[in-house]
Amino acid sequence: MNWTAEQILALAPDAPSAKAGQGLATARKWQALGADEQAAWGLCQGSGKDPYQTQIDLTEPAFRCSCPSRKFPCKHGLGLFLLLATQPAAFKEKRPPDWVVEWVASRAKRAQQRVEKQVKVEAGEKTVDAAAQAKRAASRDAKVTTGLQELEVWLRDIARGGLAAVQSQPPNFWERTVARLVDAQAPGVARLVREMAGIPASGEGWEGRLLERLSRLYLLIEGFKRGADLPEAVQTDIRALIGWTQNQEELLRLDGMRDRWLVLGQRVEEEDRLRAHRIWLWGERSGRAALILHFAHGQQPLDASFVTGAVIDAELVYFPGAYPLRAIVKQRHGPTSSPDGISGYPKIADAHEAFTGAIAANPWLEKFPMPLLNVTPLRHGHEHSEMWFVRDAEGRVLRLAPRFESGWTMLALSGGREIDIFGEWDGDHLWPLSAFAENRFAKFR
Amino acid sequence: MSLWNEITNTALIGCERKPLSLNPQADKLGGLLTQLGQSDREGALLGAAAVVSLYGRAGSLPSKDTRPLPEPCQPDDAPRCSGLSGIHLATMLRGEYQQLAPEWLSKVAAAGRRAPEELLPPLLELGRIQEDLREAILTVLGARGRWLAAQNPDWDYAVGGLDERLWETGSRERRLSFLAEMRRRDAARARELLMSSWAQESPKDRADLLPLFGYGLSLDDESFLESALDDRRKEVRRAAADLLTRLPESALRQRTLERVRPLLTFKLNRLRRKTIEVTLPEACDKAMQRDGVEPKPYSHGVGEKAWWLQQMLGVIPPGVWPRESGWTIRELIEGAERCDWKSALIEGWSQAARLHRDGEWADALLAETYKQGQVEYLFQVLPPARQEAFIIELLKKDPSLHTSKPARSYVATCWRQWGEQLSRAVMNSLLHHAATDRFKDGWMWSGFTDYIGCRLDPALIPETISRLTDATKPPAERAPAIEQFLNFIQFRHEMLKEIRQ
Repeated sequence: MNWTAEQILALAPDAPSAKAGQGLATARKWQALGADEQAAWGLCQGSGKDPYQTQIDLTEPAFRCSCPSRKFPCKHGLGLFLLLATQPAAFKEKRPPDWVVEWVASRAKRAQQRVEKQVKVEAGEKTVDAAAQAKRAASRDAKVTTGLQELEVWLRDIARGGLAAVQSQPPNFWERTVARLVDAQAPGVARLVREMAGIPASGEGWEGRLLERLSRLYLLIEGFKRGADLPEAVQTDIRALIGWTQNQEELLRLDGMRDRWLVLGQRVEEEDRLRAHRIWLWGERSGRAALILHFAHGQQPLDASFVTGAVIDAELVYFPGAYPLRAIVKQRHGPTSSPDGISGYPKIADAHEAFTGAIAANPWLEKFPMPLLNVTPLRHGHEHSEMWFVRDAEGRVLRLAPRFESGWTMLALSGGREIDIFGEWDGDHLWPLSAFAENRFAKFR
Repeated sequence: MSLWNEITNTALIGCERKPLSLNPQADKLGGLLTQLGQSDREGALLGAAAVVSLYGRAGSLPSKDTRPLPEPCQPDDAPRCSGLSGIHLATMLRGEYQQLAPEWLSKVAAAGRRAPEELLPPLLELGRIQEDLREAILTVLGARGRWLAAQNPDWDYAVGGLDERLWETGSRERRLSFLAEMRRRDAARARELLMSSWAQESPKDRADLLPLFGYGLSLDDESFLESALDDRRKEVRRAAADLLTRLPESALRQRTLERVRPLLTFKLNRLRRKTIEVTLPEACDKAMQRDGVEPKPYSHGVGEKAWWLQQMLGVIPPGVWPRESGWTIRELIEGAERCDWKSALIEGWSQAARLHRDGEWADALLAETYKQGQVEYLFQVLPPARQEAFIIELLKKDPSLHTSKPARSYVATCWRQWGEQLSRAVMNSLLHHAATDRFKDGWMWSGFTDYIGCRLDPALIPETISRLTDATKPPAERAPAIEQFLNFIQFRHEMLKEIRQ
């Protein structure tokens, strides 16, 4: 895979890191530069006595550096990678030094251990105390049940008293409920309520938007109460939405789906001190979408091993559910490569039909991935209020999210012609994450 | 009323006061809705809302818009710059190394390339804020950039035709930038527009609009500018006089020359040396004031009459005097030195050399006056080679770039790109500081080193980096301004190398 400087800089955790990385992308700052099929390495003189040992596993990519930075990848990793992309001739060493060999070996060993662990677990070597686990689970079930009972009372109060009365409630009307749900160990429901708090002040049509959300919440409570009467997949969706986490080790024991997965786009949303990182993949052979979801607290780095516009050959395991989307990588095969082309929905009507199928299976689905082929970006409006749309050859239009800020960039990429756009559809608006135009991938901020 | 509207209306009021009553149709949706028991009012309301909203979300196909699409952009002839060049531009558009943006723009345009599409919006936005960059930005926009700009009134400076409605209805700021742009493109049309609205413009607007005639100034503007000399507002009169002095052949220049000519006599003194005899003007009459002569001196220590002469001399192209006297410039300056009103003559000629960008005069005057300092404006008028030789000479005497040294301010004001020799002289000065004071006064270097970084001969950058890096070891003790300088010229080096490839 030929990495481009754009792709590498997109891995930077923030703008200062990108700038510092660019500053280090020059042979003058490095010694003992080298690269082989698997890795690239070099020594970079920092402010300390000994130079830092910086190395990249090119297959993913993965980074490691002996510098003390908490950023990931650090500026040395980015600088080394940029230098490799722009001046490969500077990497004269072909034989990796010991510290590179050791790291590559330890990575391979860890991957191996993960597989072995799966085998062990499959062989029935239970290492956890089943009784204690069952007790904890029962206690949580009880807490969630009580929490949702209280929430139902709150919800019915709103229905009885009317939405108009909600509009005059103080902010702690929402905050109190959110806090109770957090205490009840139902963080997913807490989030749903938190997201409603701003709606009463969101202008025209707020009552419809609020009612929609409230009714979806009611549906969730009803679903939870019915529990075992529902199909298993629906129960799983309900439990996942409430906030039960799936045991990933168990998942990894399942058979995965191997494909060439194109990284369509990524989005990071911050809430409190938690960053949710969504990475959307599209299987070249299967035509299926997959969502890799990571959470990072505070200073924790985001996953830098997915490069938008690149293809990974990997086996994914989907989380169970009525419309499986979320997945984890079970194993990668071979290095990251370039896409053969891009696939997606040829018409907006097709994309919408797929969306219909998805919410019919999982009515709580919040973000639906939509790769749209051959759509034209459009702008309507005048100086102070503008609205952005995409339109397909049949004339069907999807409205873009009002908070999406890269409308002009999208228009510049298209030049008024058809391009491919990937975005998240929330049922009302599309939020574009990337575009494919004139054989180039571009991502939006 | 639709089902959904009925449900929201009930929800708004609350089902305590008004239970939900629907008359669903006999379809599948109706079937579902009738299953919701009416005894549980809240459950019925929330349940119906869930069913109907999901039904609508799943079932309503996105609407069609069959209006004709706007005209797409024509394909671009010029190829896009390389991906790495685009990253360099993006870095500058984010505000890093921004001083190098003009060089990126001109070099990419010279290479026949254009800016990448995704950077067109921030680039057009930069031009909106920084008018001095517009011309350079236009050269890398390509067909795509001009097409895009045509759709955003903020970027109309980049569009082929100017919309004259902006002049009629635009904000003050818009009208100013409109007139500036119109002067560049069609000076006569701009003059027509301003003349037609002149009487209605506020005095403040008149004072701000008139100086824009500096773009595309020609003799065709003269009669309008002459009329502005009689304006009620002083700033307007001042601006008109300044513009007229810049016009060769203008009547104002001619009138001034006629006033000054009888005041100067070129003759030999008793020792048979060339000398200038000066008769000071007797009064500053209305006509002189109308032509921009200020009656009161700006500073004390200058006599009124000498001040009037000095101002008038400052307007007349200095090239006139060798013709009038038959003497060389050198001889004229010597002649001035022998007369009583030396400073009025030298000051007046210096002003004139600057106003008319007369390099020969500036060179001669600078040799005379640089000891007195404060003559950077004369330096600006020198031809490039002379400027560089001048600084090199100063640095030879004293390599220091300390703020107290004369070379410092000339280095800071030598704006164009430096040749190899001057670049080398400045590099040696930096090495001199590395060896002596180790750049310990940070305040003296931050900012100043960016000037140097922008103008240094690109061919000398690798040598400068390696020698200055060596001279300021170890890195941990390197002055931050120098570390920054090394990064700056490194970036410039990479940027230029990538464009050349």
